[in-house]
Amino acid sequence: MSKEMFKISRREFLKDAGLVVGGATVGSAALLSACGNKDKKGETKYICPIDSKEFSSLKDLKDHYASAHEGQAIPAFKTLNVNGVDYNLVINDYWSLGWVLREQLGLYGTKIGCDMGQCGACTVLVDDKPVYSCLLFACEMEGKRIRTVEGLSDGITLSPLQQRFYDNNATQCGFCTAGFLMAATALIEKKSKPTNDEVRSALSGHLCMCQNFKKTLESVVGGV
Amino acid sequence: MALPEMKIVGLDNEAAQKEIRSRNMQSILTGRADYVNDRKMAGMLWATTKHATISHGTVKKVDASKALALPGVKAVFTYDDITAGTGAAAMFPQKTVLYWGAPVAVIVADDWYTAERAINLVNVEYDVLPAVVKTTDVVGDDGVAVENAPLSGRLADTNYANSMPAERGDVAAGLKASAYTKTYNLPWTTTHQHAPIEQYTAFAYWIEDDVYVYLSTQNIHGHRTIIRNRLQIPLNKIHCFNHYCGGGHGQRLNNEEAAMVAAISRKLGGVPVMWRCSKKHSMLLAGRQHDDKGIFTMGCDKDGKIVALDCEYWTTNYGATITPIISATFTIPNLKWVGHGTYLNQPDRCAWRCVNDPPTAVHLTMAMDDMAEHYNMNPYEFRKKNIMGEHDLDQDTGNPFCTKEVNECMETVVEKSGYLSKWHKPGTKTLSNGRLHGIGLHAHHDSHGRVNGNDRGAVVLMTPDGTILTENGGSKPHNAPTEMNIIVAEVLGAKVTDVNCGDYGNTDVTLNGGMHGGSSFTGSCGAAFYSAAMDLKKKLFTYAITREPFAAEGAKVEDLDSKDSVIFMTKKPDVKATFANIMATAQPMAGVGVGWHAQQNATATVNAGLQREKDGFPVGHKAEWGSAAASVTEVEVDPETGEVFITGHWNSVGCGRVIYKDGVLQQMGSGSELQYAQALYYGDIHDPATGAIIGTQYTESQLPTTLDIDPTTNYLYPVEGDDHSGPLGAHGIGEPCVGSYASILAAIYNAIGKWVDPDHGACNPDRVLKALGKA
Repeated sequence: MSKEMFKISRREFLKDAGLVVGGATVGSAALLSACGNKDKKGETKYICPIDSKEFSSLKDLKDHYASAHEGQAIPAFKTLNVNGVDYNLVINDYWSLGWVLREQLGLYGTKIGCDMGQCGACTVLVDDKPVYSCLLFACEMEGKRIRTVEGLSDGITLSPLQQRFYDNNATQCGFCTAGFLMAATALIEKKSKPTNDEVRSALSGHLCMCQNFKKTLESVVGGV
Repeated sequence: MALPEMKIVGLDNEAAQKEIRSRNMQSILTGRADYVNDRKMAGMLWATTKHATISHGTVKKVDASKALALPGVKAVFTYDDITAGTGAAAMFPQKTVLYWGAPVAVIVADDWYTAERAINLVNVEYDVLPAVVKTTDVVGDDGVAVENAPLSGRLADTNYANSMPAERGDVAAGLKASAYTKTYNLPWTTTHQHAPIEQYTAFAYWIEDDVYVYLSTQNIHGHRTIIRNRLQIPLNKIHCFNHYCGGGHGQRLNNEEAAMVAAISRKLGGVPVMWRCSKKHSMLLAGRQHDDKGIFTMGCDKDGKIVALDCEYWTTNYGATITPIISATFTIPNLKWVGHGTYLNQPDRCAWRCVNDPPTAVHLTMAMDDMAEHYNMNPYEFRKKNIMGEHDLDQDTGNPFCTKEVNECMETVVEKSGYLSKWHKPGTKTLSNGRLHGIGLHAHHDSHGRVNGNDRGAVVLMTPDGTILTENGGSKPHNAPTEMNIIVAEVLGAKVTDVNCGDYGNTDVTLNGGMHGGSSFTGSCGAAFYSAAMDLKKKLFTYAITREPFAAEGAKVEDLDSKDSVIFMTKKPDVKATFANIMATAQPMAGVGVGWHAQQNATATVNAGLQREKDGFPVGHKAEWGSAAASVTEVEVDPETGEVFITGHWNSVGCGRVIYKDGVLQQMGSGSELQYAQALYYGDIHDPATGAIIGTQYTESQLPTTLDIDPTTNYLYPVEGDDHSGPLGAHGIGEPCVGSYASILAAIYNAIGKWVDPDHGACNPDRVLKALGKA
């Protein structure tokens, strides 16, 4: 497979992500992080709690407040480390990690299926362990290392595991795919060449209504 | 008859199969694929639905005062606020409640959590009516209607509908003439929630008089029409978008959620509103595979040839229709069918993974396996005596079939599985591990692979750089668009990597894509893309002959051909130019095509260049659709626990021309795994007293996981044939794997010597033990 195939122009990205619709801009600056953010590791971001705009320094955010939200105080931030980037943002105490990743950080690759810890679509890695992000409070995630599907690749070249999924045609509708990918990533990082039974066990917390288990398992068994 | 030549991608060219894969898959794998909930706009509100907690009645009063007092709650809408249609797929709040879980109010709030929290603060008072909550309230096990049963309210004055009698030959005379007849009282088959992982959801906002709607659907143009009808605004004011659509196909069709959220947004002054069911509610609204019961009387001659079959059939909350599994798989000269739709105060049923095909596959298998025993045959021998051949004509119409590979499919799985050496008399083989061994067979010709519904349209654009974009009104996963791109490349003579997906699922720039489903997309949209590519090719060649080097040669359109994105003169191959060279001086070109809209209209007029002669019938002659499949399942049953272990599953599907091999294998693999689930795991648990659905969570409805299903035991054998009306000989294969449900049940029967009664659910350990007399 040629790597050329995966080079994406900004035009193609905008079209794929559907950012511009009917004359209205949809999504925040943070949504651009969906374009793969491996290369942003070590960066620090400040997210405006009012309009979700993203800034690289507290000073820039304060300037933004002064111009756009005059008279309003900047509330206390929490810091989430997601895909190697420190995001400073306001987190309501009842927000789930999945909600914050999607609605505050624009990392929409993490899907919310059941929102009750049954389907596995929202799986992300926290300190290298797969977890259901719909069941975790985001405010308790400070100091932990969070990884999402957007962090698996740099936006240009697929990770070896993603490439295996591609080669095996291992998605159908795709809604559950990110969850499977994250759980499989955790497995392979722990055991480089998992057996069929090990893969079946590791992926058993995930449901797929297209019932695409065959291709998915074939992509993980034996490692990458 | 030879298949049309394909220059580009062969079944065994695996490298090419990967190269041509649509880029949409990469979007999915990297998290970029945009589903409805992945949208965000400034000022966006969230909405969710409160559902009824009675099975039948009328909403008397809705008190939303407590909900509205909750900080962040913006509005609560009821039937009085956003009145719209009722019916099978109603999403609007209802005045009349017909099942436990029907929508009664919609709450709008600043965020999702607040909307969800407010659900329990909305107080609904009902006038409760008697409810019909289980099939035995309506029809006895003997098929006789229960007298004085309460009315479900779904129909005016009855709980029955859609009796659809059909008969060929003389069934009474056939049964009388039979050497042996037997009546089978066949059990209610499985129902289960469709349970999409992506909840029902829609997003809408208004700009002046125009509404922009995002929704998760297989039929975006159909939704636009629903919005027009419900909101009474012109079509050109409605802009619908659907890029990626979460699975659960079959029930993502013509629901009303898009119209509802558009109505809510309009009520709120056009602000963006994201509506999403909770998972619990999504599973309540999700259509269920209908559960069916049959009473069959079968008569055979002295050699085991079927002479007559008399079927009476019941379905729950769905119209009962005769299926090709009954009418077109086997030679049955005398056949009678009476179907009853039986309507209860239960959630709606739908036809996902086929119409009546899964239940009738099970019922026919039960009857035929028993009949085989009477004649001292194994199930294969009995079927072999009766199965229709590839060139047999339809027994009702006398028309040829577009394709009919059922016999070849059956032979394939029988051989690959070693069925004949493994089969034994039912309940007679115990393995060394103490488990009971069984093997089951099913083969059928079903109603799928065909086209039904709306016209399909396709647009193929050639850009100034000589590459090609395909556009369609369907949603945008990757298998179907990949297949469409291959068809376009083949017709245009383009490099397949030069063909990319343009816009899919955008009503502003695409033609109607019809129902985007596995069974219809290949035939319908494939034909549309075929025609669009032909149209574009004609325009491209017409322009090319005005440009060098062809102008200097005085070339005519008919002198040209193309391959690998190069146009050349057929008699002077060195006179050539790339698409890019020709297009460098041209405006972008568009080819437009329309696919046929019904099987009976698959005529030469609509499909010129597509349909080919079949079995001596001329092009344009009506032909019957369908697709074929067969499966063998091998199981081990633990007689102590009732647990069933599938140790082998051999699945063969008549695919017509295989255009995109990886997509075909994926459909077959997932299709048969779904049937593992339907046969062994799914459940839809109702409280028999109230009709309340208890199984509204994945764990309760028993969706299988990778621990339940071992895909390495699932062996796939596509049988390639020629659909003489399909684009390049192809047809859809979305559903034929449903027969695996029947072969699994047949294998369990072969293991334990008793048929398990699914009793509206799956053959779980409890029911297996019951069949063994141990429960």
